[in-house]
Amino acid sequence: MRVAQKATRSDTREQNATFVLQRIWASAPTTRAEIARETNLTAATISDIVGNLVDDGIVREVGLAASTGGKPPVLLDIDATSRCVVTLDLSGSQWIGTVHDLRQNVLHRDVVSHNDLRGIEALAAVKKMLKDLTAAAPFAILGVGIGTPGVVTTEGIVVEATNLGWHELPLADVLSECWDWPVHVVNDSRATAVAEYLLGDHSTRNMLVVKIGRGVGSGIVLDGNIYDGEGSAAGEIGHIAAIPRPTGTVTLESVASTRAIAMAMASLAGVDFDGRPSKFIAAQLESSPRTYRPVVEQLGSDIAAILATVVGTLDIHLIVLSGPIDPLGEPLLDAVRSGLADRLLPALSAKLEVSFGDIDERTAVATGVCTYVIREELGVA
Amino acid sequence: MSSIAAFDVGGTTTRVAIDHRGTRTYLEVPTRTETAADLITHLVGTLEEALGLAQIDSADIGAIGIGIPGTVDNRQGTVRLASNLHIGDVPLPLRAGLRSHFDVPITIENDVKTAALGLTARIPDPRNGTLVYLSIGTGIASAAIVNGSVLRGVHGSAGEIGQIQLERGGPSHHGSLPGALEAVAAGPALAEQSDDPIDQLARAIHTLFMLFDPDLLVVGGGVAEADDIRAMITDAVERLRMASPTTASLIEIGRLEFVEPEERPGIEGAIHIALQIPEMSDRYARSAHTEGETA
Repeated sequence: MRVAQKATRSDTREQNATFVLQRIWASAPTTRAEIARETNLTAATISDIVGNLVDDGIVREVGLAASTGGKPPVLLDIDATSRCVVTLDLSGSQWIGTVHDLRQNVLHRDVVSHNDLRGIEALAAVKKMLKDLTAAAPFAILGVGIGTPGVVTTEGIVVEATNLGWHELPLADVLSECWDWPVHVVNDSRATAVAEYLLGDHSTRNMLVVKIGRGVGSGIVLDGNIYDGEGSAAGEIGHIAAIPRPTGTVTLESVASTRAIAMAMASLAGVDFDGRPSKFIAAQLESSPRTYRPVVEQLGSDIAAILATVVGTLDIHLIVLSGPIDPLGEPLLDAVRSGLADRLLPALSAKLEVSFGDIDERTAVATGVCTYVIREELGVA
Repeated sequence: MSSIAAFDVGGTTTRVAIDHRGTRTYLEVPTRTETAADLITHLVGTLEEALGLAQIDSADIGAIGIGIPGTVDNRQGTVRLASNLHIGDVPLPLRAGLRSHFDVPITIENDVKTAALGLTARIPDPRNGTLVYLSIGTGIASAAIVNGSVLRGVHGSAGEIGQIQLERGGPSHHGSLPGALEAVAAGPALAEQSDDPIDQLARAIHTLFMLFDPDLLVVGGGVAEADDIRAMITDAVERLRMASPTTASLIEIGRLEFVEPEERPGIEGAIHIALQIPEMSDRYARSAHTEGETA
């Protein structure tokens, strides 16, 4: 965490540059005069900063605005094609690499099945995919972002990622040794929360985004900020062992990962399950949705059992579920709602909204990581 | 109809790329087929998955190009003799099988020939130039683009250099001649990094240079990605070339190149062959440069 200090002159200059870029980002196309009105910076300061941004290529002059008497002002816009952001989503059994432009348009996407890679092998595969992706990047690279499951510090150390067999891996440093680009590492659920919060159609500053996939995790947005926690492990609800089962209490991940859901469905229907859990879940629900009602209800109740305390403690009114679980549909949402209603004050549960994500779950991590990189590198988005 | 699907099918991995107005979505999945007929289902499923990832409607696909191991008859749309895909002597009607799912022009070519086409962007005049590709993986094969066209031969098997015997005697590989190039210098033998397989490869490369006098001879395949093996191959070809004043003057060592690990010549080639369909190439050329045009 950064400790507040008295601003030095160069800090101020950097801050002003960020203000200016933020204005152009948010209200492009805009003019120098418009920015001056919005920021209270002097015309000279703004011209200076805009000049630098144009030299960097991030901002370009795109034409002339209507004259308000006198010389027509020059319109400024972000040049989306001045930089690329390369992201890699390691959360599923298929890793998704994406090259985005500055406005997050997808320029290139690589998806590779890496089912059981762990440890050093997984790291080598990350390097290989980044090499391919950066080779496919058509413009200069602003930064690289990795969305990974597990506990990740803000310095980019993967403290623990069970599914990848990584422990205390300084991933950002290791990758920075191979390339000159800034590397950012973000927890996958937190990235999903960034995407849902900033780009989804939710009108709230507090939300809990639950990501269900190979693992189960969540991202917590409080007062418009992603909450990291003291040890960067906030939101790791998948590892809370508080689900009652006849044999004792088990973790949420052990009953709510897509693999666990698929296994529960297979055992209920007495069929074999093999291959990709998400495909199996979608296919089974399509062929006989009613059969699986008990699985869906149990899942909703288990999720509610873990979420109730969080939601009840923090007074969060929006829960978003993200993952290849859309086929479970409204019955799942209903089961979560009723599980929460059983456990919470009626005044709170009445206001509670439970929904699926607005952002396509397959691209949510990439989108969130891309947003994060642009934010860290340029102070915008 | 402004997107193209390109397959690079292999015995262990299937790769598909969708090119939508210059934006690529590339998907790599394991090939898990148990019979020849499984292949159709597998390819359809893989393409549908890639379309889902790219968020592109299947109706937007205008042409499909496929590079696949084995002997390909593009006119009939069939493949045979691809043992790693369980395809034997009986031709698999690949195009007909895919057509019932994707009713668009489908072009099929042998994988090594496809990759060679994918590499022609490296030479100054791809339409008229000559390029030889040598693929060294678990097997060895070559393909030649001569004056801009793929050299196929009568059976489509031109370039099966893995079957030639450079020395009498030695091990055999899947029924090859004893000491055939593929038996002495493919993946497993090469991995030992002894001089013998490298020398054999150098002789094969030297031979290809003499036969085709190409703009470029490009070496690829999994094994040739390792830097030390590349250096050993280059040194061995250089030694052989310099051993004779004639070949020293006929072969320029700078025309020997390697496929870089991040390159995908198989995919590039499959896009290339999909674009051979004239109307597709027109439409693609237009849509790739026209923003906002409806499909």
